[in-house]
This record gives sequence, C-alpha cells and structure tokens, in this order.
Amino acid sequence: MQINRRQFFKVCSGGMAGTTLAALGFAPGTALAQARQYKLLRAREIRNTCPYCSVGCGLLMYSLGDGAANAKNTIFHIEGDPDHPVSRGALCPKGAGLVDFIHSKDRLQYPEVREPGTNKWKRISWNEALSRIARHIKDDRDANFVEQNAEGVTVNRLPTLSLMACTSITNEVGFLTQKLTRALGLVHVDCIARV
Amino acid sequence: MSDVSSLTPAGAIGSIAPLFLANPVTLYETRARRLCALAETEPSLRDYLSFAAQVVMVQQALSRQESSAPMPTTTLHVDWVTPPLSMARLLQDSFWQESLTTLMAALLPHVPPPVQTVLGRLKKLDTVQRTAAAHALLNNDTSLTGSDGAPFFWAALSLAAMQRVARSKIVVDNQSGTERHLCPLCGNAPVASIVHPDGLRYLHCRLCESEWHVVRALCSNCDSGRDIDYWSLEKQFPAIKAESCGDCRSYLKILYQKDDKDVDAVADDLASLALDARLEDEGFSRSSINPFLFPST
Repeated sequence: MQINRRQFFKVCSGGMAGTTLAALGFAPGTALAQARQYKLLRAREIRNTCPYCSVGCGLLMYSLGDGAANAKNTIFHIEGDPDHPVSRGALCPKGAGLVDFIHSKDRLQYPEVREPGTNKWKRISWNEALSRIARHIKDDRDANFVEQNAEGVTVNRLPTLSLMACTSITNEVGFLTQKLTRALGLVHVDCIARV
Repeated sequence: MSDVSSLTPAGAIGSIAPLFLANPVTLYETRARRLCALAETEPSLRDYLSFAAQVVMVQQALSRQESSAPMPTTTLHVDWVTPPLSMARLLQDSFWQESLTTLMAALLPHVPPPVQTVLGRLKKLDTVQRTAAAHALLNNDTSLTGSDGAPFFWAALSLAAMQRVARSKIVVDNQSGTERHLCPLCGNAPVASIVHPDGLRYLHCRLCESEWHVVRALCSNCDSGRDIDYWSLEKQFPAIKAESCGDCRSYLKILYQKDDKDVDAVADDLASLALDARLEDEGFSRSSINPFLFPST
C-alpha cells in the first residue's frame, strides 16, 4: 500500500509558534489550554453486511470504546451504507432494527433444550447439544432411510429430515452444506437466501 | 425485462454524483456568516475567526466583480488521473494578481497592526516575486510568503481557481476505482470531509472549493480501512469528528451536515483547533492545511 499520498503537517506542537495564527499576532494560548479540558471520545465506523437475507445490504456499524485490548467496544448505532452498490443506504425494517437485535435481552447466546414433559428451557453444553442432534439424525435415518423405491430402483433418500441453511454464507459453505445433506440422503434442502 | 440499474430500493440513493462544483456567489457569503457565528461560540479564537471572516468577505466582494481581464472559457476534462486545472495554467491568469492587490488594499485599514505590517511587506513584492511565491505556496512551500503572508496569497489563488472552474465547461468521466486522494480538478489536498445529509462523503478541495465523492469509513489519504477511528470532544463541536488512520498515522476532519446543516469545511475546521491539539497528542498528523492556518515555515 502506497502511503503519504498527501503531505503531513503538525500545527499545534510547540504552542503553535510560527503558524499563521501566531505569526499574525493572534494569541493561540487560551485555545490550546482549553483543548485539554474536554474529554476525548473515540468511535469506530465499520462496514459490514446485513445477515438477514440474500440481498446482503451494506451496513455502517458504529461502536464506542477506547480501543484498549481488554475493553469491550459497544455498538451504539447501525445504518445503511450509502456507498453500497446494491442497497445504496436503504434498509428494510428488520435491518433497521439490527442494533436492538444485538443488544436484545432475549438473544440466544448458548444451546438450550426443552425436554418432553416439561415447559422449562434447560441450558446445555455445546458438546451435549451436538451429541443430541447427531443422535436424533442417526435414529431418524435408521428408521426412515429409503434405499429403493417401489420399482426397485436405488434412491438412497431420507425424506423425514429437512435442512434450512443460513443466508449470508459463502459459496464454499454452500458447497459444504450440499455435501453434508446429500451424503445423508436429504431431499428437502433449502436456504433462506434462496440461492 | 426492466433495466436492473434503473431500479432503486425504497429509501435508497438513486445515483452518486461524483463531483460538486462550488457556487462562487453563495460560498463566501455562507462561510463568512459561519465564521462570525463560530467567533461567538469559540471565545478563545474569536479574534482570529473574525479576522478570517473579514478576508472571506473581501473574497466575496471580489467574486462579484468582473475581472478587467476576463478569463477564457475553456473545457476542463476530469478523467480522475490528471487534474485539468494545472498550477501553471492558474498562474498564467493575471486575475489572481489583481485579486491579491485588491484584497490587501481592502483589508489594510481594518486589520490589527501586526497584520498591517505583513501586508506592507507583501505589497512591496513585484509581479515576478509574487508569481514565484505563489508557485512555491501551491507546492506547500511557505518560505517565500511566510506562514503569515500565505493566507492572503491563498485567498487570491483560491478565488481565481474557483472562478476558473465556474466559468469552464466541466466534462466528468464517471470512473470508479480511481485514486481520489487529491482534487480531480486542481490536484490539491482536501481541507476536510463533508458528509451530506444523504450519508455520502465528499472531500472539499482547499483551493478550488469543489467536492468529490469518496467512499466512507476509509482513509482519504491511503485507502486503508483497517484501523480507522473517529475522534470527537465531548459536548464540543457535535457535527465534527477527526477521521484518523492507524496505518498512515494521518487524520482529516469530517463534518456531518445531518448534525449541523451550516457546517463549512474551512470555517469549522479552523474553529475546531482544540481537536487538532488532541489528535497531535495522540500521535497523528494532519493530511491537509487549512487556508487560514499554515504551519511554521
């Protein structure tokens, strides 16, 4: 990356001696002294993509924080990116409400299970969650896998399980999704992105 | 089938104008008014902002006058590679020399003694010396004008550049992906970024006062988007932030019209000097010079 495309300057160092303001006889002292009284705030503006649907609208996300490694930055505002070639600054109501989604109290942050015969959600570990899902898939496949249809043609399909894939995945993840589901014999595969 | 490029989502911007030209009639009037207003709210810089307003008011009066040597009407072709208004072409016009003479004569009776001394010194320069000084100044070299004489030269040159642009036929190639660190018309550095009410960011040229589009959340000097921070002073200058880049260690102020519709690139950049002091404390350098605040020679 080529840097220094423009010349760099400092004007305040050394009490502004020699700058236009001082050289013309105007006293910059009080202005500089006052500068130290104010609290300096630091914010970030990051470009991102809305996760909801396949349009993939451009976002500008604003966070406040001092940038220190152990401090957590908080996102305080999200708006449409006016430079984005597809959405040009527009967001649908779901996209416009993203900042509330991030800070929602009800946001799911870990695996939970509601077991038969209870109305309570129970927190479980990721390992347990993945084991339970794998168990369900295996049991279902053992019970309902169709090797041949009525005419005796080999079909190897699992019609009782379906998969709805995520929207904002890459082509590569889409490829892996197909590999996994077709290997299991799934025929009902869709994606929220509809691609 | 309808043309996809003609479809615009609801609430979206139809198209992005690559370039806005300054209006010579309203620009100085608006800037002078803004400087006077800022002089009231920034007491520590009141005298200097009022002085800057005086200079701008003379620029305004000059911009209304027809030059005795009318500038030729030309075509300026913006190809985003070579700025069509070259410095040599600008200095050829005698218009800026006349403007400088009139500007200094108009200011002389109304400015404090130290400024009068500077104007007295500049007045003694002959045409050849003035041209040499202007040439150096346009290359960020204030050794011939001094940092104290530079604003008067700049005021005359800026007026000439803006008039030249205003009287030319401007043809703009709509090219994306080109370098946009300097003014596509005159090749000068921007004084600040302005974010228009629709959210698009434009860089404001410090010489010809044109504004050109640059994508937001990127360093306007080195194109990096990796480590961009926005600095502001709590409860001070609510529409102004400093956009700093951790890669090239420079910053440029960014003004938000949504927060204050009256922001002016030159006036607000000058009045928010406190923010410059704090950014320098953080180890950043300005990637531009304000027309009223040249660094020491």
